[in-house]
Amino acid sequence: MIAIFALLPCAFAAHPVDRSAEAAPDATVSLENTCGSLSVAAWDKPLLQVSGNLEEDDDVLVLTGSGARLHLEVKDSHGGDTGCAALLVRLPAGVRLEAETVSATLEVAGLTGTLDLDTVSGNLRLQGTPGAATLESVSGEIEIRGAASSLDLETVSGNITVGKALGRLDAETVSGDLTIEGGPFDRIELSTVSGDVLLSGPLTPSGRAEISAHSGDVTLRPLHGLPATYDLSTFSGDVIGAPSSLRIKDFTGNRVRWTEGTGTATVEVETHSGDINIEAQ
Amino acid sequence: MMPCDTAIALLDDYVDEALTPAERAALQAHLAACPACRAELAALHALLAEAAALPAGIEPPRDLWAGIAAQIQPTAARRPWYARPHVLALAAVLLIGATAAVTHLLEPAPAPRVAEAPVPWEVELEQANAALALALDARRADLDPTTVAILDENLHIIDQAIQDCRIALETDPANPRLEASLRATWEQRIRVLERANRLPSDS
Repeated sequence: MIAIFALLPCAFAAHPVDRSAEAAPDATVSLENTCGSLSVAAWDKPLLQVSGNLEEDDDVLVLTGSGARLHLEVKDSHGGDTGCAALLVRLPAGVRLEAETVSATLEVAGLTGTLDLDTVSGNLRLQGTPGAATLESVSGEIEIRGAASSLDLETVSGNITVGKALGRLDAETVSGDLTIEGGPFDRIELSTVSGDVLLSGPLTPSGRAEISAHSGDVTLRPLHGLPATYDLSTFSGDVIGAPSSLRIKDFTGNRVRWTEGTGTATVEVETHSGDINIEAQ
Repeated sequence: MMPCDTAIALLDDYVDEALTPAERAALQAHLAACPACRAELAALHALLAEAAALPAGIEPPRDLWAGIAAQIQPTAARRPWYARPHVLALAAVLLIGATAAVTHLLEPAPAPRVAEAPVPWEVELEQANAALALALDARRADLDPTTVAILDENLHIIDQAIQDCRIALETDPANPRLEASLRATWEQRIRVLERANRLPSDS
């Protein structure tokens, strides 16, 4: 075990990098790192500073621009986009960030500007309170632990977990699971084909949640007496946990509709063959 | 010698006779020594010949195509011929033409036409999907096999969902939720293909 830990730093220790450039508080910054890891954190200096280690002798760290627009990229020896590194990038909090990886894990914390994060198989993690954020992956997982006012999240097979968020949330997967625990939300749109959905985050009094799943199951945790109109329907699945007296037969399938309190918020769930579970209060 | 990526990117301009003399000479030298790129050139010639033989009345849905073309971003300064929007549009036209021809051949002539033709939005979405799938097929070799496998698996999941919706609509054709679900699933398939076509090479 000791030998393993002794060897680990060697993977990146041979090629350290430490660069910086002036960055305006509202600069547009683009980052690219194919594999390894990319961590981005806010600080209070008008600088972009990058430190870390390149994976290969031939990899090159390219930092261009300064002030209003900066670009940072890890290149391989042929100038291609397959360079790998473990990097920590510090930026002014208000920058607009566009970051892209292939398999590298991408973590962003503390930024307050607009974020556009993209990966193929790396995991994306977001903390802090960005103004608006768009996160996309193919198989990488997305995890939100921040209070973004507007989130657009999209994966193909990766799971999406929102532990804390505010405002508007739009999340879509094909086979990934959606777990939404943050809130309160003004508007939630969740969509999956075969993934499962768990919604336990509250809505604002006038909030609206629209959830659709084809074969995935949808679970609604108690929303703590939220005055809302609930409209749950499934073509061939079942609605579990709703009193039979609430069931409506106005089309083929199962539909349950009821209103609690003034019903100013709305929760609509629709599945094809997935079940809809209403957990007990 | 010129690398294959560069050669393929020049093929479209080559058949359009839009290359400079130096580019043309370099490409011809590459083609003389590269069977794979000669095959690409032959495929391009064949595609253009088939397109030229099509009736003039068949056109892809232009509004939809504009959106798709904007989503397929170039991965190099010069896009390869198969990734050029007009080539993809031609491919879509060919697909539509071929589908129409097969449908015509298989349709019993004296039978009255049953009002089961797909609604226009579904035809349009199918065409958009076909064009995007073609674009993805052209770059499968550039993508990581693991990524391709994930994409294929998830496209299969979507296709199964589309099939489920169609079967359900046969039993409950008046159900507006089923039609909305079918449409949403087609649109999600487009988004996945658009995403796949934006992936960088080797990812």
